[in-house]
Amino acid sequence: MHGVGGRSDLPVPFTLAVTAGAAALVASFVALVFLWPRPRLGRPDAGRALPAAAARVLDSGLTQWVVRLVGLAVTAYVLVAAIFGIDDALNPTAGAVFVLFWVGAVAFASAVFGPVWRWLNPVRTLYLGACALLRHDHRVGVLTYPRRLGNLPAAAGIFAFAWLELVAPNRDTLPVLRAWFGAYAVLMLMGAVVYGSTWFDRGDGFQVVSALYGRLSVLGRRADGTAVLRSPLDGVASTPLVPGMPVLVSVMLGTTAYDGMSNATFWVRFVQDNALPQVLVETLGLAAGPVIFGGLYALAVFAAGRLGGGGFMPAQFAPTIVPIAFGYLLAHYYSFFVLAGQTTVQELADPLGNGADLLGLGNRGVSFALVGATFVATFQVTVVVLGHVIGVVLAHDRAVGLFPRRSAVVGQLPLLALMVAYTVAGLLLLFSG
Amino acid sequence: MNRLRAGVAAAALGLAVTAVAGCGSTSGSPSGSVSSTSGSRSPATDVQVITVSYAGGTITPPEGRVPVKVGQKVEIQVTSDVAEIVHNHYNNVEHDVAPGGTVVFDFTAVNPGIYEVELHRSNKLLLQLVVQ
Repeated sequence: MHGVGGRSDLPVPFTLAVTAGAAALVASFVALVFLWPRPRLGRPDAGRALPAAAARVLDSGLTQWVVRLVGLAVTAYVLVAAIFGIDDALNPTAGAVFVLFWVGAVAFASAVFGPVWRWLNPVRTLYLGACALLRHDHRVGVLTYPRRLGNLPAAAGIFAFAWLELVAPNRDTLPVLRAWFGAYAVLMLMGAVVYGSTWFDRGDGFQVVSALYGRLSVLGRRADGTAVLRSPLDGVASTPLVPGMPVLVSVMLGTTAYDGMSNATFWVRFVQDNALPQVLVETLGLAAGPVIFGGLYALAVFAAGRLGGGGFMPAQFAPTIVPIAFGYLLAHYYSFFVLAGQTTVQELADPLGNGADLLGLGNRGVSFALVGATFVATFQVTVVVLGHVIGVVLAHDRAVGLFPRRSAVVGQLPLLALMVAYTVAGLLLLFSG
Repeated sequence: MNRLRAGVAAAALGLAVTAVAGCGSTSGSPSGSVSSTSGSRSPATDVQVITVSYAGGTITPPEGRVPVKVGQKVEIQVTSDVAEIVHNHYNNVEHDVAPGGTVVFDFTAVNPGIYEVELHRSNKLLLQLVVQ
């Protein structure tokens, strides 16, 4: 059962899934044999600097505060519906949270424009505002953020959000949503007070995921802050490595995979006819996703280190998984975003459920024009394979940089096997889900 | 290097063939058949009636997928031995049902997809309507 909508896509045709799988496999080995022998991605000077005028607009404090205020205003608008609205199927809160915020802003908009949630994040804006009022340096907390903690709090946050979206009983009702996001906002504020604003960049799951998917955008910044247009390959390859990132990407992949699997008849029956409580079985199923995907990752990176010669470097290959995770996400959520997005925007026009039409949309219903069955199926397998190919290219580039030249090819074999496994799993979910 | 390339290519081919053969065993699933949208499809005159009952915590017939053709008129009848809220996600309609009562959802299935019909109080999925 999905958080909102209650609709999922038809299974992709079998021949399409197999063709896509074969294409991914062939592309992997072609990449292995024919790609460049020395690393060339993610150099500090990669990309082309934006024209000075465009860079000035992006860099200006005014632009940044306008975006922050937009985030604050939209949050306030949704809060009105969440606190004062009627708790029924027409309340926009669940759609605003799961469709517009999670799929729309944190994932899709980030992949297009860069890490937008850093600027839209209302909790961060409140924290920065409070710091400005108190004349306190926002970067300074009570403690220094421990390096080893890395993305682990972010991984926990994303898992908790996936639990809310896919497991929590009554997850589309207002008390549940208010409780979850209330607790999340309080925890994030406390983290910021303790560790300073670094907390948001390392420990806030939504901001970290937005930044990771933001690496796929053609808009980016070099390490020195220069705004550039660059290839997504350079963007992902220059992702700063942070401890715990492998755990986070495993959670991203594993929870999306669980979402696809949880729709299958065998799983529905297993959950509903189980002697154990439904919530417990579903929670275990959700946890199994990251454990399996993360376990495979650890195994492959360990084997790659042994064969390639370079030791166990778990964080090094974590960014290469990001395009695969995004392929999963896009395949999984595209039609959901198009359909539930239309519903949500129309629901937002009437936040209190009193018949208002604040956005002047009228009653226009939901158009299925962009989600024809054949198009969706083709789109789904295409983005999964594309994510795979980008992941393979990135892993190749990373491997030839890390491993001695003579063992670089053989060192990549476990990574290729890992990515093929991820991709075949993703295609199987599309086929059976 | 050439030998390595040839070996890798052969391995790739072998894996691809294995993958195709391996997956073939699951091709019994009904999901592969998507009926094409030709002009010959006549508007269905009769109604496809789907009945499901919820009694003693058990769903009959067991929860699963019910195929429906695009354009088909559908009537879903849900009986429950406890007070429930039944939510049909095809048209996003909710009906209350009293203990021992029956609720009926009438609609024409137009948009392809898999739609859930679920019980809100006991948080259970009754069936998935597969419109294709």
